[in-house]
Amino acid sequence: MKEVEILLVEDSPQDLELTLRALRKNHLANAITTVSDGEQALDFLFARGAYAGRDINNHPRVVFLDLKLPKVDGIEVLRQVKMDERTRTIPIVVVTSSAEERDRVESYQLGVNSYVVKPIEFDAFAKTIAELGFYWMAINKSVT
Amino acid sequence: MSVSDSAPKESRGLSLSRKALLIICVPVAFQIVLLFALFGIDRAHDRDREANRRNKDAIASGYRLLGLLVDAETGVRGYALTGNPSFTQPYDRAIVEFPKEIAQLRELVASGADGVDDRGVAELENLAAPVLAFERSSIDAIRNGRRTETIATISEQGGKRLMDRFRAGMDEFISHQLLVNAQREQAASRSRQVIEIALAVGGLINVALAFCLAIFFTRSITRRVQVVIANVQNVERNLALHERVGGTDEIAELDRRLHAMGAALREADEQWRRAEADLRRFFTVSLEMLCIAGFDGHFKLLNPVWERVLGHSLADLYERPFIDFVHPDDREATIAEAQKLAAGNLTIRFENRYRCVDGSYRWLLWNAVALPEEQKIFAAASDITDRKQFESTLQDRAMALETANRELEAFSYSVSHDLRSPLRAIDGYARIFEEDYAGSLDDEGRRLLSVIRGEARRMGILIDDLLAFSQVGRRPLSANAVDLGRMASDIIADKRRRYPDRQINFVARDAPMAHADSNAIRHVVFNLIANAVKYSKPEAAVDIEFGGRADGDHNLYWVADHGIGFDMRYADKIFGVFQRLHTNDRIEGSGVGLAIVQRVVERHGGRVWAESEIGKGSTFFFTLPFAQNQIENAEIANERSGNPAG
Repeated sequence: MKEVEILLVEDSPQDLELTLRALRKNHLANAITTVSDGEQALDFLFARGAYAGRDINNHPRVVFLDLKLPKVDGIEVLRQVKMDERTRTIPIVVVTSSAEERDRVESYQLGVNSYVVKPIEFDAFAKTIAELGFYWMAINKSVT
Repeated sequence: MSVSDSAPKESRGLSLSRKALLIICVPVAFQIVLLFALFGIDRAHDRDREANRRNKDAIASGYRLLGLLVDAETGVRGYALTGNPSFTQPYDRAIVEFPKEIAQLRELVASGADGVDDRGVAELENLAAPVLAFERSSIDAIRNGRRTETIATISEQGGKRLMDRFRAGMDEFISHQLLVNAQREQAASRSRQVIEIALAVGGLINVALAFCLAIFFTRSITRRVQVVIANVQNVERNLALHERVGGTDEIAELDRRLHAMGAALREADEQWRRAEADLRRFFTVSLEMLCIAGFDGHFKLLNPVWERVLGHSLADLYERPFIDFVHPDDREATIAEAQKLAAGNLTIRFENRYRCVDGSYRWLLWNAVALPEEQKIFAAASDITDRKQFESTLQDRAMALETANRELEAFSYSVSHDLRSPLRAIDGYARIFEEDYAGSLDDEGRRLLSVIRGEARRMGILIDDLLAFSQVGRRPLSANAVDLGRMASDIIADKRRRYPDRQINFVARDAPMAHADSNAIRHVVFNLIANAVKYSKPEAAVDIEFGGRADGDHNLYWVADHGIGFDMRYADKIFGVFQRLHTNDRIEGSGVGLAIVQRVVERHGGRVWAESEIGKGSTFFFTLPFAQNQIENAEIANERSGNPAG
């Protein structure tokens, strides 16, 4: 059993609450760590700063990454994670409000594992999050 | 006068060499003729003298003949008287000598040109023969002893008569010879006179002839040569030439050529003057600033534009080195450029600033060329200050536009992210409220929550459409061959799936392949078909027709329906963003679809319009150009007009 199953990087408390609710409803919220900006996300993944004691090799099963983040934005987080030998195998799913092609193209170029646009309608949103959770927790087999 | 006029005129017709020949030959020929004449006269004179000498010889011979006969007669008489035979010796000598003497005389007379002919000598011989015969008979008679008879005969003067007749013949002969001789002397003296006169007159005539020729030719050569010399000087000084010297000789030819040369020089001079005047006119009216500057750093010649542009008087500009007027920041470059010029390079589109009289600076654009052998620079400058300012303004605007575009993009990005999150929150929390507090809500409460959620969704759609519209304007286009008919069929199929309860009839007519960006053009076809479905008559079948054809330099396509149509008065309005002609809530739509259609078509360089009649249906037309480059041109035009394309 992994220490952290899902790392949720989300700056909007509302989106965070809605996401957690959707995961919880589907019993997927057991081992979720949430951070609210890119810097914290990088600290966690590279086991530094507030997360200095963490084992860097203990990867989360998946990272749900918003793109528009304070301090370090999601694209930069993605770049650093995918550029580093130690972290590049961590599956990263961009979950964003942005339907911008530019973001999508750049994310895929950096090696994102999935790119999901958050639907505005809550029902659709909840369904999308639940399916993502199922897929990455139950269906997908990760490296470790 | 007429004689003296005509003579030089004739002599002008002769070439100079002929004239020289005449001057020499005429006197020489005259001299030769004179010499021959004199020679002839002299010969005649000599002949006369020779004849006279023979005359004299003939006379002497006559006297000798007479002497012989007289001696013979006298001897015979002595013989008769004395009987001494020795007295016959003169007769014996006469017998021998007389024929000899006669022969000599005959020869003298025969060779004489005139005078006594043979007849005279023969007569003398005839007259002498009886005398000699008488003497013979006398001698013979004496020898035969008839001495006395002989003396008597002699005394009867028989011998004397014969002798006298001979003497008379001889006298006549001699006197005739003397006469002839005198005549000849006279003739000789006359011919000597003739010779002397001929010598004197001939010499005079010769001198006169030479003099006249000299005068004639002086008139025809020297004076004309002087005219030619004067003409040469006039050509040299560029003055008008004297009139042409007449004639056809070398001098006339020289003069003719000189006139031709003078005319050619005047013509060239005139042409040069005109060209110079023309250039000066250009120099004066030019809008460009024209100048000639010396390698010494001073202007040498400036046209009036300089005063007009810079405000300095030309005198001021001439007075100071031109570098003084150049902006301090541009001096180094200007000096470098001038050095390049002096080294033989052209200056093309060099720019620097010149100070005006009010202290401001004007930007000048230069073309120049140097003439090192004259230490001069020829230059033309345009005042491009306005253009520079315009360029600067343009640059500022371009930068402002770029900033605006960046901001717009940031705005659009921000809208995409930030405007949707709250909507999701509104919908999400309303939904949670609905779920978690379902028990405490009555029907009205649930209805109100449903309105909140519905409006949040509508807002989401508006934002999505607006983003799509903005993206359609910004995404770069890549044109390929696109089958719009097939695209329309696919969209219809999708619509049929989405509205299974509507009957959708679709007819795709033959249409040419479009040259377009397939993603972008899909928006067009999709929105037009969606509109046709949306604005169809309720409860009736939806009839949609797609077609197209080539039309001039573009393809024309259309989507027609039999729907509710619209008022043509608003035909232009329907393509505006958020413009809706129908307020009916039943018809969903944000009012962005046709704006997207218009934007995509126009970005392809095409045009879109609609024809409609209320209750009958609408037809939407759009055009797409054939060729790639037209799309690119349209793109460039769009970028210039400020449409962000990236």
